[in-house]
Amino acid sequence: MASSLLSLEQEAMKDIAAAADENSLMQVKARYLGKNSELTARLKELGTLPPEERKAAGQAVNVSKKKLEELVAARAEYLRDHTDVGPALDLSLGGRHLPLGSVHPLRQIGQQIEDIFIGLGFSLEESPHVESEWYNFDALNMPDGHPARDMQDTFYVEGGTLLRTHTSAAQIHTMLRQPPPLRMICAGAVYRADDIDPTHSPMFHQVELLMVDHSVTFADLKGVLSAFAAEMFGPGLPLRFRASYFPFTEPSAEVDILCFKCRGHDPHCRVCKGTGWLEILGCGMVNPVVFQKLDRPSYLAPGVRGFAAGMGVERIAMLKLGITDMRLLFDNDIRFLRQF
Amino acid sequence: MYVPLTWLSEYVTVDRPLRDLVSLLAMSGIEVESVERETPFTDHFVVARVLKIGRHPQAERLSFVDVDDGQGGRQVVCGAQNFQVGDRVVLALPGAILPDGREITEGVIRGVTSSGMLCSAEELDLFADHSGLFLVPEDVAPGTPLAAAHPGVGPTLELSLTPNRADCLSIRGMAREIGALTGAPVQGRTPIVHEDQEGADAATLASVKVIATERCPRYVGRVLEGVQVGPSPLWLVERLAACGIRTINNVVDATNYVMLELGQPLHAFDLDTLDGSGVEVRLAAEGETLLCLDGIERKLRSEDLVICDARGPVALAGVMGGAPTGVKVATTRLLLESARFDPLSTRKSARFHGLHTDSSHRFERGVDPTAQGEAADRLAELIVELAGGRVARGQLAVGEGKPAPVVIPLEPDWVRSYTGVSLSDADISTHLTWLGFAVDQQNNLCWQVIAPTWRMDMAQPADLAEEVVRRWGYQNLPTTTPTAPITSPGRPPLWSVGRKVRELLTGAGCHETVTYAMTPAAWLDQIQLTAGDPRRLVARLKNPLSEEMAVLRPLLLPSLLTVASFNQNRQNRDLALFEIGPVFRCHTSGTRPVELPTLAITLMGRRHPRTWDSPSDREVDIFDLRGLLEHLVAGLKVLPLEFRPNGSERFLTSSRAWSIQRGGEELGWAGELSPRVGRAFGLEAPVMVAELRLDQLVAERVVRDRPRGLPAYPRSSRDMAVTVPGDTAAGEVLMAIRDLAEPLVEDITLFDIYEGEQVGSGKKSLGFSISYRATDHTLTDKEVSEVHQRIISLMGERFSGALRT
Repeated sequence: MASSLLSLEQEAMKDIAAAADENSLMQVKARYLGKNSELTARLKELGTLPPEERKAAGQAVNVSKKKLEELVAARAEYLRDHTDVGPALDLSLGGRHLPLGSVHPLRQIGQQIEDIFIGLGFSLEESPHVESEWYNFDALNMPDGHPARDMQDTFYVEGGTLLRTHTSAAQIHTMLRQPPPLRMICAGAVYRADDIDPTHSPMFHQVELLMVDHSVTFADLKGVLSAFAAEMFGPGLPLRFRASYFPFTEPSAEVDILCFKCRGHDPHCRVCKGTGWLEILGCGMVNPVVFQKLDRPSYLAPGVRGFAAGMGVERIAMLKLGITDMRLLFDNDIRFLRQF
Repeated sequence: MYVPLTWLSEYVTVDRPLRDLVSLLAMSGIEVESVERETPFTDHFVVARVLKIGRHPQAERLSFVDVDDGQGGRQVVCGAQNFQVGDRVVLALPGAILPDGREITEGVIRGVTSSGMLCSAEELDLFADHSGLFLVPEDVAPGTPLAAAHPGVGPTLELSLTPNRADCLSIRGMAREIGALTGAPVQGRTPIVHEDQEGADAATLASVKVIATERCPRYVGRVLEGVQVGPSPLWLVERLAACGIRTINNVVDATNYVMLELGQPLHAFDLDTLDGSGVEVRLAAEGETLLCLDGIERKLRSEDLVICDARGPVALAGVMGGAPTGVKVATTRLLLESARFDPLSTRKSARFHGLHTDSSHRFERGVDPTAQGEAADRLAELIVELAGGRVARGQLAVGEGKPAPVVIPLEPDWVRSYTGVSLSDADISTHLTWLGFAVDQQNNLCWQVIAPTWRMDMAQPADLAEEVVRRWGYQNLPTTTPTAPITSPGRPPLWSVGRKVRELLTGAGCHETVTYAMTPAAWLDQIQLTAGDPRRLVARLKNPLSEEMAVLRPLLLPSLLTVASFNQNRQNRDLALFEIGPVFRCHTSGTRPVELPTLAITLMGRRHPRTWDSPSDREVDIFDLRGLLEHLVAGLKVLPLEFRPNGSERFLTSSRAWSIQRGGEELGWAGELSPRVGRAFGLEAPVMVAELRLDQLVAERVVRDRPRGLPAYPRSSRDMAVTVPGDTAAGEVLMAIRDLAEPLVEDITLFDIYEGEQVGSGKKSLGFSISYRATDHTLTDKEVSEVHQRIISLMGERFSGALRT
């Protein structure tokens, strides 16, 4: 009898699994667990068995019954799931997309530079695009007739002003606004009368840096710029200072960073052109003449000194992004912008 | 500035490979842009003897030449005419690479085989010469490599000098610099002038008078007689050519040569053409003219410093000489000029007259104030060597030739603390001494440092600090960090706003652009601004690169339209663009413009990417634009904007345009671009555009100290459908309900607008969902009904609306 119960159970399991909808499952349930089912009949027959067999047989039937009931319930739940959600889906399809925008790469790099210096305690300052000659040149030790004015072809604006040729004018605005000590940067567009080509643009972007305090040194400047470079280009890349000239700094330096691509090991490196070094910015100790031009006693106090640096955002963006033609940054081709 | 190393070696011995020299100079602030003629002529360039010249059968201008190349005969096709049988010429054999990069191959030129090329001086990069082949002296044996027979000037550095290093604008100056950096002694030599002891005193032959002494603090003249003007020798021609100067004649070449050698610009007058046999240095009289050596007559201004004879100006001081008094073939008597002119005066004259000469370049940057006498002597010496003649006794010297030296006090302790470099006193003084400074250490805490006369850029201790570190080696600079108190860095008020706007708009699928602030004036017409529009008061550039970049943009719109057009023309017409940047407006024409921080948005084409189940292929309309702006306002947590229908902007479609306002203040505009304007920018599809002042947008923020608590009592929602006349503005109805300011009304949404049969023609149905809530109890049906009824009444009274049932 036990074996026939087992085969009955297996038959029932097969039918339950095969029930394709709730109706047929109900029929299966009625057939195996209903009033007229064999299991019910067997339960009724228990009384006819000898008392010593009765208990075991009853247990066996009840276990089967419980098992089948559970299977029916599980199958019912499964079927409900499927019928409730509707027709089958093609799971190979892609999803529905939201439009994805982008911050312009020049702004991304600019924001990154700002964030690094904010982290170093430098405030952010603003300075007008349309500037006076005094702020842009005279106050920065480039009086009228100074040959250094030739280094920057200037756009003049009707009415006696000009478009700032560098963000360095922000140094002057900031120092006239507040006494030392100070730490500031200024980021923004600057303008020079250069024709558009792969490495020149009549409008480009700079970030200016200025720190004025009592004990800062030329070597400290290198330290601050090294901290910046480690954040911007990755740690472990030494900086190299080269002597240079800017009228508003003395001593002045051009700053190179060891090529982040080849670290000076690839004579055919496309990033550094095999030189091992990448020029990233210009800097120096604030020329005391600049402090004198401010005509503010707090900047003429003994021991007051400072350092300044200026970097081109396009230059850094092109290095970091591997772009060789600056025009890409100003075309605003959506195929380019979407990559950022 | 060019420096041929063979010339340099007359002054200083360079003890290291060229590459090392180049990097040493680069580290010390002198950039070597290129090294020219770096590789000597290879053995592919040999001297050959012309054996026979035949005319090319098919080309009149070509000849075929049989030459002896030392190994035997070969035939070469040649276009030059300046040679004869027996001449020695330079033959580039197949495989030779010319200085310009061309490779010589064996070839057939118009049917005649040519196995090599006969070279001109220009093709060999020796000097500019259009007369034909470069001819080698006849005593050179055929087959001799050119490198041995005529090595030429050899490797030449092309330098990029910063404006402070005027002292490096000469061979001697560069020798001093290289000597100082490498620790090599510099050989100098004093020019030897054999004055004609029998002849007249220079002062009896010519006169020099300086009236404008401030602008010409020093003038040294020399007189030569019996000079024979003629061509210069080859070595001179080649050295000048290597430095970028063309040969003219031996006298003029000598003035240029000494200028390159010593850095002192020089001029030679034909003394016989000077009226009154003398010169006077003065300011020009307004309206005087000067026919310059370049053949152009220039009208002088009263601020131009000029050299004059009795008739008038004969040279623009320090810039260019005059043609009538210049040296010609027939010239025999010379007045040489070695003077010092004021840098600013020279610069202004050069600029005004559009002349930038080797002479003005040096005077603008300053010349050694002690060098005039020496340079005059050196020039006289060289002219006698090249052109013969006698030097008249004495210099015609005016002004001080040995001005007081520049003395700078220097504390060695300060140098250490300023640079952060620990150098000993001895180190510091050694570096300065090598660079030509005299260091008086009598007071060992504060030295007196005397700058060399040629370092016009030295004025203060910081200048000396740079010199010390420069010679010590910038590359050795240690890396230290400053100590400074921890502070909260200040940020401009709009800084975080810009970032938040970027975040919100890029999150909503917009791409940021960066465009030029300089724009074409024609754009103002293209967007149809009226003649009286204040935005026409633009700031104009005085020297624009082109008409395309002539005015500072008074609004961002046309820049974004141009970007849209650029992309549309590249088959990308689904665009959502924005830009943040200043626009420039003038209050009155010609005044300094104000810079207004501005945000502009442009939408075109589909807003959502097209996929297998796009919500729709619908193109953007003004409600996409308005939705984006409202999204921005919500995200920025600023007070809502009012969108007032306003068709006054001519570049917008008048029936689809808003003026954006808040509290009576106008922030900007939004709407659909007028199709006419769109076409002017080449745009085909409808374009939605908006522009608003960023500072005004965020001027009024939603102020809330803390988040509101969550409501404690349930909400009760009711919908109503109201039929109103078809021309009713739904937004006004919504505003009217809000304006009731019912305390129990929590929120109102317009969820449906229906026009059609069921409401009858000329009418529309508006569906509102209104939610009610009290903060202190659960609302009863009665309470809600009372308020709801008041709203329904309002519909009837204000909008002739009726409840739809």
